[in-house]
Amino acid sequence: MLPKELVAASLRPIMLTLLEERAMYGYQIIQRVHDLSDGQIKWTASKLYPLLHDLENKGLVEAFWQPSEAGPDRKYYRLTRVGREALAREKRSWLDLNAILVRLWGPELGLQTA
Amino acid sequence: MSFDLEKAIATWRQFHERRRMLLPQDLNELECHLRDHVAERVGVGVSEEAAFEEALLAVGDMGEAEPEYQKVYWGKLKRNHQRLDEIRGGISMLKNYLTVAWRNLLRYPGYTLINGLGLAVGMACFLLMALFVHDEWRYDRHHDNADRIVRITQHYTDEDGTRSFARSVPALGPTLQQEIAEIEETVRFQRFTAPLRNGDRLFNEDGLFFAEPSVFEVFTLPLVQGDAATALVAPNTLVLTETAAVRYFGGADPLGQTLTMSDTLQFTVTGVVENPPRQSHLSFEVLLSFETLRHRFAAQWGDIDTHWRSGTFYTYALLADPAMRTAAEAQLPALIEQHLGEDTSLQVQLQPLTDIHLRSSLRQELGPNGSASAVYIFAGIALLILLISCINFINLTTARATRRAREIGVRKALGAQRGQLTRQFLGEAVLLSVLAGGMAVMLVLVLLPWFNALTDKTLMWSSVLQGPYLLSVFGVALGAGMLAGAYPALLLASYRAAQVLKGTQRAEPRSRTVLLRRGLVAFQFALSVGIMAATVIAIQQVDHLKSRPLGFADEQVVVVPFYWEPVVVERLETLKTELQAVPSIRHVTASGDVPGRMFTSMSYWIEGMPTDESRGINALIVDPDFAETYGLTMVAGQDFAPELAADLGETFILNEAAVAEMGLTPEEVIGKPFRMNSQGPVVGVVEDFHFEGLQHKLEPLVMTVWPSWFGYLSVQVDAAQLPTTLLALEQTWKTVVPEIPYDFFFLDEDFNTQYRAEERFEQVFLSFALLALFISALGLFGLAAYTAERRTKEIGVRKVLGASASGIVWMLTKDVAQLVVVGFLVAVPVVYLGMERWLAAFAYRVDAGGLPFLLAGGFTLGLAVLAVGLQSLKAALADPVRSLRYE
Repeated sequence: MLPKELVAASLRPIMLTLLEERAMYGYQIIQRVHDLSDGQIKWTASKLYPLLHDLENKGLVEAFWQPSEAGPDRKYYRLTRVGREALAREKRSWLDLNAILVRLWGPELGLQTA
Repeated sequence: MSFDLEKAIATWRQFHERRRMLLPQDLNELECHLRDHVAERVGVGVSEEAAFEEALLAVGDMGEAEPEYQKVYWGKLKRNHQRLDEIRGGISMLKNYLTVAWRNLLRYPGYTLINGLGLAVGMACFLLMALFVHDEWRYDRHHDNADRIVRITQHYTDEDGTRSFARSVPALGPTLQQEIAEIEETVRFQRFTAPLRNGDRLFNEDGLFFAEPSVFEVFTLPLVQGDAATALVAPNTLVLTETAAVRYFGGADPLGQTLTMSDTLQFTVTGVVENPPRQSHLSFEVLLSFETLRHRFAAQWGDIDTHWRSGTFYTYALLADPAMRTAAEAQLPALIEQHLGEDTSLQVQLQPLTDIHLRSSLRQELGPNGSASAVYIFAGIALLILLISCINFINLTTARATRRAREIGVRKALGAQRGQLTRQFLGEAVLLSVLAGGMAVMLVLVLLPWFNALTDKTLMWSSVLQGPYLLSVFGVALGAGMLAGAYPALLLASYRAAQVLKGTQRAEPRSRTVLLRRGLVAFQFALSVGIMAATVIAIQQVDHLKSRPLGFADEQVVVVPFYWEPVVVERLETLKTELQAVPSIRHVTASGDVPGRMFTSMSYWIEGMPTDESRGINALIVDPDFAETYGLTMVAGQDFAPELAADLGETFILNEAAVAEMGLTPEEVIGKPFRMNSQGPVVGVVEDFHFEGLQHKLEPLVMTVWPSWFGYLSVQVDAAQLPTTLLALEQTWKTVVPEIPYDFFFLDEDFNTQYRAEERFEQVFLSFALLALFISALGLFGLAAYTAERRTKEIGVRKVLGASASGIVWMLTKDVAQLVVVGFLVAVPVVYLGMERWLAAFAYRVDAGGLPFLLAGGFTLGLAVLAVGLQSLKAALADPVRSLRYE
């Protein structure tokens, strides 16, 4: 299990990346992240949705409703143009951070510096 | 008990819905999430119940999530809640306002009735006037090209001023069309009167018009049958209105059928046109093809398209663009000069079609037109009446304010805010005024037939019950309510709770308010006095017009019109002889026109004028015994001798005005050579008589004998045996000239129809004056009742201290009397100046003098004193013990 703080910090870039691929609804996102991280990252609905709504308010993602098999309509999210730009910046920051860490720890862990 | 997933989800949802922390759409999303989770777990063999528990856990702690949600939605969520609460609160407040308002209205039924009725009558008045004004305004506007159509009018200027005619010479139409680029099309009309016959169906048609085929291009006259492009092209064809078609052919198909004019000329029906709306100045029954006229005209006068005399045509032109009128008009003087030479006194103008009904009173108009100033005056009066009723409303509501001071105090003490109170009282006023609006619509519906009779209109219920109209009623009601309610509402709401409850709020809140109320009452009196005085003056003037001696015997004269039918002229001697054999018939004579229906004007020359010059004059073609039948007095010379009938048109009689215009005395003019068509001596001068209504100045007139122009038979009868005489007249007519339809009118009645507009003006004024007075009295009565009630205690004390009843009545009424006097002083100059202007339009008018004002002032004072006096008398005679126990 990854520490809570790191999970919280990675929420945004991961979510944007997932939504860049295709439109998804909340439950799908959680499942996907769960699978991707081999169960290391477990988002809860109560964290996910407020963030999604926040992104929606800021115009990074847009939502649309589709009928579901049972119960109320499903809300799908996908990335907007603004969202893509934000994702590009996000990627750069994370890679920069990653480069610093690799430079610091790389030799000792046997990794090549980029 | 087995687990029910749906129920569990519903319970979960309900819980969150109650908390109202999440918006429904977000709950939906969460619900979806739960269901997905459960479905997946159930898919791998977990029980629903366990899966649901798991899913709830996985969703995470909603207690923590809610602040997150709120953070995201901060404003939105919160604001939505607030807005919802506000709306809910607003609705319940509105309900509360209305309930309280309704109860208040019911608690004081007298007050409600006076206030509501006054407003309703005021609004009804206003609404009727709105209908009237709209109807007058839309005259001739139904034509698609209405804004591009102009009428060509002729104006002659000489030293006596300008004489303007609605008719024009025949050459003008084609000439203007050819030579002025701005004019696309013209159409000429020649009005005509003749009997038309289809078998037994024989009618005198006075709505006949010869019209060029372009009539269908210029005007919007949709054909029900026939083709507009060909209908009036061939000679001897005609187009009927639907009404006329039914008159002549019943239900049968009129197309291709034949109608006979004057039993000689055959016309084929080539079309049926939709009845033109009543709101058109050009109202016709039958359109005859212009080609028919062209042939007849050519035989007598030459080519009709180049004829520059005989201005008897109504000509209309279609401009390419409404804005081009001035440009087109500017080219006319040069054009006229080119055709008629430099010294012509003819000027031609282009009159917009839409100006004709309200702004045109030329000579030889097609019919009586409306008058823009009358419309303005009526509309103004209606507005004033609405104003009076609003003033009453304000007065009564403000006056009642003090009665409700305690209610306001309690409400304020319980936390009502000023804004709420304002809304409450405004709401009451609006509720009452909307109720009054409903009452006004009903009143309008009830009064419509009477109003139609009064204004000679055919306004319909259906036009009242149209959406936009009802909407505007509602608007007026709302506006009046707001206007009338605003002041009292603000005033009432400004009371201070503590003072009111302690009883130290002064009964009359502020001297400013009192001054305002007194000002409004005085203003109301001014309006009443003004409208009434104006009415009296209008009545006097119309009476003056009707009773002024006309200079001829207009009573007991029966006129049979035969509209210039030659067959009647041929048998005139037989007709006269047979009629004179009837003992109750005193005189019989024939003439071209009769007083009140004068249409003939000619040009003349008399010795002393340059030989190539001529002047215009009214001409009356008469039988030698005309002067005798009409009781005309000879001033000089003599009447036509009976044997003069032989030398037709070769002797002339002038009236005094004509002689004066020539600058001669009656004695001098006798024997002078005079020329009009043919030449001969002036044989006599007749005393002036009014051959036209007294709005018009008496004009020069020449009379001559010319039987082929005869159009009316005038019969002076013995009033005592009128029914039998009329019967004898009809029988004689039907045996001597059976081919001409018999019809008759009484000369005096017919003459007085010229005063219809004035009579209508007078009647409308009178009705409105009574209404204004009624509303004022109503308001005054309410106000007086209130004053007396408010001063009950004071009156009681005064009585105990020895005041007499009359003293108390005087105390209460002198206030009102002062206001009447103030109102009177304001009204007199305004009305005097206004009515002077109205009277100035009459050639013969009364002097307004002081009487109408004294009458109006006296009447208003009397009514005011009566209304207040009755109330104060009641108060003054009341037992002081009881009034002191009051409250």
